[in-house]
Amino acid sequence: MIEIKNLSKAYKKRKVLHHIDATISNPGIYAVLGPNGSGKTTLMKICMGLVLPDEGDVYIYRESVRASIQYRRMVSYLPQIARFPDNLKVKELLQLTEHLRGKAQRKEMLMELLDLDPYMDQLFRNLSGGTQQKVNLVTCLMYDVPLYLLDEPTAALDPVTQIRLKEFIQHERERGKMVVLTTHVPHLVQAIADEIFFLLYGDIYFHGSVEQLIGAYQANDVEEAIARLLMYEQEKVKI
Amino acid sequence: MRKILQYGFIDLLRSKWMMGYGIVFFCLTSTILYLIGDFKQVIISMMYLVLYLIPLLSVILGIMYGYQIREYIAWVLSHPVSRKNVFMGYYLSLSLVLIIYFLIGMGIPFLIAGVLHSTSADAFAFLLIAGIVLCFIFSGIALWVVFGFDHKLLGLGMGLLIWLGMAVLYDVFFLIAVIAYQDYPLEIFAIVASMLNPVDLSRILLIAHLDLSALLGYTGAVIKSFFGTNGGLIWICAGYLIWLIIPVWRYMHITSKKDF
Repeated sequence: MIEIKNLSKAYKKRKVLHHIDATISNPGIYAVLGPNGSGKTTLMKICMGLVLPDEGDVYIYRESVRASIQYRRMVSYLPQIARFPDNLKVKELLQLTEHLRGKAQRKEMLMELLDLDPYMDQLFRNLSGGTQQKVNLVTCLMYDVPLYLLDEPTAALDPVTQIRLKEFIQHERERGKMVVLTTHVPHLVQAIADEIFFLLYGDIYFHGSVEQLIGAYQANDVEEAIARLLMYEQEKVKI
Repeated sequence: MRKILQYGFIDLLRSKWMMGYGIVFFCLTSTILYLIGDFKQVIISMMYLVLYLIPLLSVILGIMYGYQIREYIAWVLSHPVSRKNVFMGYYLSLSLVLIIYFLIGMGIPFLIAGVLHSTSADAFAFLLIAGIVLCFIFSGIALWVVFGFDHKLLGLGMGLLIWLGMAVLYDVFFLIAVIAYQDYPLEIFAIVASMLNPVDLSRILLIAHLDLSALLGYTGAVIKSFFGTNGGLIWICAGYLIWLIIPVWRYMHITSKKDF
């Protein structure tokens, strides 16, 4: 369960989040959308205690992210960019992860799903961008936790892996998990998201289901709806 | 913290830059030992390498490593670990790897040459101690700079400026002050001013304990009379302690409030 209360964050003079309130309490897949710089990643990072809010707070399973670190045992976070210590082997990275947060429940299953077994003894710096993202995914998804925060999970992945990941996320929803993801891929949102939070101008501009978003902008799909939403806003700014 | 230290240590030990740092020390020490031969003179030559090269390389390598850490620190901090433990772990791993490559690079040639069976064994030990403390101090300064400056080039520039200030410019200003006020008693000023710079502090430690003070005339006599005693050693340790604490305290303070 995530409760966002009166959350504000600015980087110097640029307001990124402005008095945001939201609650996510049911299992499902929640997509956080918005143009570049709209605060999606900042919101995720605040949830993980990586960025400190200026005002307000986020409560995850009733624990304040400002005050506690224990809630992180119930959350798995996927950073947007797959970066790890360059000179560690893949198996050492996974060992480090397990030392930091305990034994993973499904490491082997994910290694097989993402075809990572041949890379176990390779140094991270020698992997391709796509394989680095797969390692990133394994370190996040190998924990069977109630909440996943995924920042651009499909970035740099090949189509086959994208499909496998999509199925995996849907399977997690069926198991009663909560998945919050940010993405710039509209068809992924259309295929799996239960609810959308659209961030714009530091606020939650739209909150509702995929169908509600498409209906509100009389579009044929999510991509068109988002394009119309942004064009409508640009027109408003010009006027 | 132990696990961050362990994996940070493995990561750095495999770094080609760190290996290069060890090789540089190994080659320079071996060459100087081969060319000069006499341990006392070699140690004096090595003193200048330790005083200038360790701060410079610790700052440069520390800053390079620090900006690498910044790229994946969000991933580390997203686990149930406290910031304090994570950042202290990285500081210790950086310092320890720098120290290990320094000890290997400088220590092995000396040991092979038989320094332990010579009369210069004590001087050699002081050289190692000064090098180790400088590694700790300048690793802290490097990480303080890394997390104080978001821009990598700016951070590197600041690190080099700090090195230049402490290793070169400080002495220039010190000398100017001594010449300008030569008619006044300057002993206390000289002692205090030396303690405000970790490079000078190390220089004094080595001058006072390597029997070099005779080479430096009156200044050497002042240094020997004050810092060559046990009381002087305590002052040096106190100065070192302050220099060990301040950069690490600032680094820990900045990282406790920083957005990643």
